[in-house]
Amino acid sequence: MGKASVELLEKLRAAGTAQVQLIVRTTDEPGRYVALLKERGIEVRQQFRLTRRMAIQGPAAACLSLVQEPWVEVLEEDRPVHTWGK
Amino acid sequence: MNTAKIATGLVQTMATTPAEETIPIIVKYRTEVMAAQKLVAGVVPDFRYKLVPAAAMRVKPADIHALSEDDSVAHIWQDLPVHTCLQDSAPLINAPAVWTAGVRGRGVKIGIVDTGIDPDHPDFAGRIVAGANFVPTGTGYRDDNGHGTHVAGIAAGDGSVQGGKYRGIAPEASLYVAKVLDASGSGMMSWVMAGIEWAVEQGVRVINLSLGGPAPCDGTDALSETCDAAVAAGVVVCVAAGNMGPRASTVGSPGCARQVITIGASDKLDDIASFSSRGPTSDGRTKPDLVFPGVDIVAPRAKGTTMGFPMDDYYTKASGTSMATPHATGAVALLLQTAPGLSPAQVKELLTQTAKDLGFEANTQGAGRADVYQAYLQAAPPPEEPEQPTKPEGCWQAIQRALGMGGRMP
Repeated sequence: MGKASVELLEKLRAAGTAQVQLIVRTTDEPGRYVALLKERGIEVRQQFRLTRRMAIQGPAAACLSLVQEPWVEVLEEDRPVHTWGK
Repeated sequence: MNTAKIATGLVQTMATTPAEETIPIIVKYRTEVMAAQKLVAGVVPDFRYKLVPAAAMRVKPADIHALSEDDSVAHIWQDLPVHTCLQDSAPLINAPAVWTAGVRGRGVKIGIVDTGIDPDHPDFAGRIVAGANFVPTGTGYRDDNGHGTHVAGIAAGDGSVQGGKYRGIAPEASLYVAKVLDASGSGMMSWVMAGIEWAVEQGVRVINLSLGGPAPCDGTDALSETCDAAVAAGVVVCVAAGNMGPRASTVGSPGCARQVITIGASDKLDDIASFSSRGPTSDGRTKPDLVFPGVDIVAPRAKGTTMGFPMDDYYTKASGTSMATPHATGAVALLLQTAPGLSPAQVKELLTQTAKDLGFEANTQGAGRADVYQAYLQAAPPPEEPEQPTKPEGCWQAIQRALGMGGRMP
């Protein structure tokens, strides 16, 4: 697998301008790239400190272009989680 | 009617049940053959048992009357609802023996990353130190689902509403609550990651994650790596395996994370719950790591919520690896009070090495069902050697010392 799964790449290609929520892992301090993302219309929803990651939201096409960036290590979907009890 | 064959409670139930209504019963026959053949006309049994010659069915009072007079019938019981109180599950993992040693989690900070908590529930009085909300539409950490309160109660409720009957595993631990799931019990990975970071920054020693996403996974997703990073920061992370069993490879993220303690669910008979997710992970690692009781657990209910099967205003009954996991979290708190210097890896090793092997394969039970007291005995520092009393210096030794003389006392 490259920087993103085949399924995610296909999903982003198909989604066009629709808003998507992703988590991106960077090669170094994520805060350095907030402005770059903003220029592409991508909002940083959360910056994490335990790992070099950010939760982002933006147009699918803009997010797809991130896989070309050398500072992007991994791009993955921000997936739903739920409780395991009832 | 042969009342000698009918359980006392059932006789009373028959007396108050209208003739056309059915009563759930268990009939024990004198022989196995009878168990298979001798049934009430028109009644399809719910279960036929193999270990004992018996069958479960729902019949009218008159049918029970007739069954009691049948020579092939040995006994008739009412089929009653069963549940596992914390008063049952805590002894099963030997927690009370640790409490008797004076260890109840005091001073240990537990992070509950879930749907929030009912801050007014008396079982947590004075022990919720901090809370924060990470649900974008939320405002506070009050539990609007009920799951987080139940989970927190299993880990650290003191059971005060019922005089200690529903006491959690570490009833004196401190609670730090991150609300990361909404009123429906759902959220996003990024919300959970933010909650974990907050809990680590609060200085918690153990985090409970009774939540998860789709399976299978290999432990490299963002949420799993965040959990591993929390462990690297010195925090024990207990994660529910999931409720997608009994199929193989059903442990989802973050249960598939490498460094966490992944918890499956057992019942009070030390059987594995069928719903408990099984390993291996998609990269071939064994999961879960351990099992704890997680079937029909009665624990605190958040005010105004209906999660599980409410027993009264203060308690509700629920099942899942969500309920097994806070048993582990509470157990970890007991160990960390006992030996604060333990690393997350040492805690995991203690619990797995002292677990009771239930005889299931590793990807079903992990190391087995935990025994907190055995783990505690391993963690507890050995009793200090009593200091040898020094012999008081006698007159002759004093003279020798003063004159710089050696030698023995005459």
